[in-house]
This record gives sequence, C-alpha cells and structure tokens, in this order.
Amino acid sequence: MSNFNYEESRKRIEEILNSKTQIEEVDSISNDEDGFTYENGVRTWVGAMFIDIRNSTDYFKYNNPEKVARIMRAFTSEIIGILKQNEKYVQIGIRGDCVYAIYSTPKKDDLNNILSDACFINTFQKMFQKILKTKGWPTFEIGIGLGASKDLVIKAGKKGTGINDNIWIGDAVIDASKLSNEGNTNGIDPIVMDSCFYENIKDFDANDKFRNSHYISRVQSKKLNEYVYCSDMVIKDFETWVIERMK
Amino acid sequence: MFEYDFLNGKTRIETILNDSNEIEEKEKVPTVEKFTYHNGYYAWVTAVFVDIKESTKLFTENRKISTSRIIRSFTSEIIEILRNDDNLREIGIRGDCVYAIYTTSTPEENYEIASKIFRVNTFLKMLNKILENRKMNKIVAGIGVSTAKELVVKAGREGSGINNLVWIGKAVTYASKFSSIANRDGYKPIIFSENFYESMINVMCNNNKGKNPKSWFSKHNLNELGTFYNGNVFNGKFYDWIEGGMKNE
Repeated sequence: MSNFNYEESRKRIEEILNSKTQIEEVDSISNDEDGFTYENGVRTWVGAMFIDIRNSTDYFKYNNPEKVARIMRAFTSEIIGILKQNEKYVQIGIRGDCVYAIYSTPKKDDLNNILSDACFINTFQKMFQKILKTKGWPTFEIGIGLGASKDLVIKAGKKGTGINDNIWIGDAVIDASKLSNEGNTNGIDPIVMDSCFYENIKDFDANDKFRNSHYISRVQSKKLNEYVYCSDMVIKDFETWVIERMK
Repeated sequence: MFEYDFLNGKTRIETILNDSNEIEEKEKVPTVEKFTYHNGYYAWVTAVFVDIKESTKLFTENRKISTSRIIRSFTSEIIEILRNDDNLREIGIRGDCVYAIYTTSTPEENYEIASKIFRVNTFLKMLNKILENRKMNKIVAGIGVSTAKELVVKAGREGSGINNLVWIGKAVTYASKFSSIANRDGYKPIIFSENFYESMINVMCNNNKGKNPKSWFSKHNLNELGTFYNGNVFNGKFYDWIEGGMKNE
C-alpha cells in the first residue's frame, strides 16, 4: 500500500502557504531547463501555442490503431520540427494528442513570429491531409490556439521525482489550450487567438499589401465567453506548392 | 523568418507513414526506455485525471500569489499520492489537470489505484479545510478513471530530445472527459468507467467486510461516454483524522 503520510502532507501544505513567495519581474527567461532556478516564480511576458486534433477520440476509436500510430508519429515529428525553429520557445511538448509550445516574448515581434509559425502549421496541415488522402488514409482537422499575457511561472511537481515541470499560471497558456479546442469548429477558422495576442500583432505587415488585421475576423468564443480573433492565414508559396505541384 | 523545407518534410512524412511498426501485445506496458520510434505495445492501462474546476476563474480572479501557492500544494501532493506505484508509466500536468497512467492487468492492481483515488479525494477535503481556515478560495476538483486496452507508441522528433508516449485508445480520452464532468451538474467528485469499476469492486468488497461498497456508487449512462459509476468515497482513517481536527498524533 502507498505510504502517503497525511500528517506530513498537511505540514508541507502549511509550509507552502506560509512561505513568502517573492515574485521577480524579468524580461525573458531561458529555454535551458537547468538554467531555470527561480525558487519562487517569475512574472514575464509569455506567448503560447497549442495544436489540437479535432475529434481525436473518434479518430482513435474508429481507425486502425497501427495506422493511427504512424500518422501521429509523422504529425508530431513535423510539428515539433516547425516549433523548434523559433528560438524564443522555452518549452515544447506533447500532452496526449496535443502538441504545444510556450515562449518567452518580451517584444511584439516575438508574438508576430509565433503567428507566422502558426501559419506554417496551418499550411502544413493542408499538405499532411493531401498526403493522407493520396494513400486513402483517414484525415483529421486541427485547431491552433494562440495566447499572450504577462504570466507567472513557477516550478511545480515534486523534487526528486523527475517530474518537475515549470507551470505557467495565467491567461496565455490556458487561453491557447482552450482556443485550440475551438479552431475549426462551428465556422471558426483554424487559427484562434485571444485579444491580448491579437492586439499585439494586428498592425504588423502580413505581406506587402496588407496588415495582419486584414486576414483576421472577430468571433464570439463560447469557451472563454468573450470575443476572440480567428484566421485561416497560410504561407503563400507553401500553399501554392501544395495545390499545384503536389500531385 | 525561417523557411520550412516542405519538399523534405513531405519525404520525411512518407517515410514514417510507410515504416512498418512492430506492435507487440504485452501484459504490461514496458518502461519508457524500451520504446523506439519503430515499435509499439498493446496492453491494458488505467488512466487517472484530476481536474480543477472553474480553474480559469481560480487562476485569474484570485491574487496571483496565493493562487501559485494553492496550485503548488495541490499538484505536488497529488503527484505524491499517485506516483508511488511500480505500475506507473506516466505522470504529469496537462492544462488544469494532474494525470497519471498505469499499466494494469489484474483486479488487485485496479483496486490499488482506486485506493489512491479515495486518498486523493480525502486529500482535497483536507486541502479545502486548510484553505477555509485561512479564508482562501476553495478548490473544486473532479476525478476521472478509465481502463482500456491501448496502443502505446513513442512520438516526437528523433534527435530533438522532445518526445512523449502517445496513448492511442479510450483510457486517456475518457478519463479526461470523466474528470471534466465529475463534481459538476449534480455528479459526485469521482467517476469510474464501467470496466474499471467492475474490475476492482469485488476486491473492494472483500477489503470492506461488513460494509456495502456497492452502495457507495451510483450507475449512470451518457450517450457519448457510455456507462460509468459515480461516488464520493474517502479513505476512512484519513477522513476521521480530518474530522477530528487534523491533530498530530
């Protein structure tokens, strides 16, 4: 039987509640896990992207698992490849069937680069679906959630367990996670961003003709119960290649 | 801005899609070192999700400092309860949830997990009592447990160090869904999938002679989730200690 000692547990909780959490303000944080030594947490500008598979329960349930395994491997491997190119990431991971990245974003420009990565992933998915279709294999849609906020970062988990995640508390990560559930549902475009993310990227040039805001529309989010911003932006030459050359 | 080399991307994808995976059927899911990008295992697993309700509200409305303390005590203690088990294969934090996945092949192993769940439920009672004493916001959590035969493979990017096991099947997705409806809409905090309940209940009855554990659960059915059992069960000794004022013995 497990040797959980509740008296000790109570002591630990009281200690945590009594310890004075000093929150440090920092401009950016390193993506080197070992370099993260803030004992009590830091507050900093954070961006987050979650890529979620639509109806994954059914996709896993009704398709040949061995085939699904190959598809998931190919999908996660390429998505991580795209995410890793952005040097502002501080954490990339897979949780179940969801791939995510969390970024340190001291500048507006950093958020605009995340949007550009989201456009790559949106275009990538069009290619990926085409490859699956060519093989006669089942396809799936994705939702891409983007969030930004000034967030608190703490170390959680248990020392000595190997499970010592940095936990990102605040709007960016939770918004991105929830909005990734809404992309590609009920007429909402695949890329969905919270208002903080949108406000910071709307005036950047999307191409030599228009700003980002030209390609983004405002919709009501049921999950967040507020207005969010959605888009189906793609990387043009990549998309052209997918449509014309990939035959 | 970086350029994604889509020609190479397409080639890499097709290589993985055409690669035949060696899938082995096992009684136990092996430990993570046994996984490569080319193999996979079929085995019975049990997934546990503990979900903080209305966590968005908890995260944004409270003062951030006290929130960080609550979350820290919450996650580290639940991990402490869930982790001590040779059958544990993955444990972590996903969004607002703490989750754990075990490889289970016998009713006794499933009852062992059920006991951990009752302990987690009692822990939450204690945590809320402590928070209440300090006039801090309480935590409402839902616990979901589901058992299924899953295909487990390693996914990620070779050479990047970024990888995780992917659990293909019903256990993880259903445990997550159960945890989000538990302790809401009139449901009690703990939800067990039908097969998990059926696997462990006889062991539970044997361990609680003279009591009637079956009466501690109610049976429900939802279209999208099938049949499941719902209850609010505690660890007796731990519970009595809390009710007795949490005194050091």
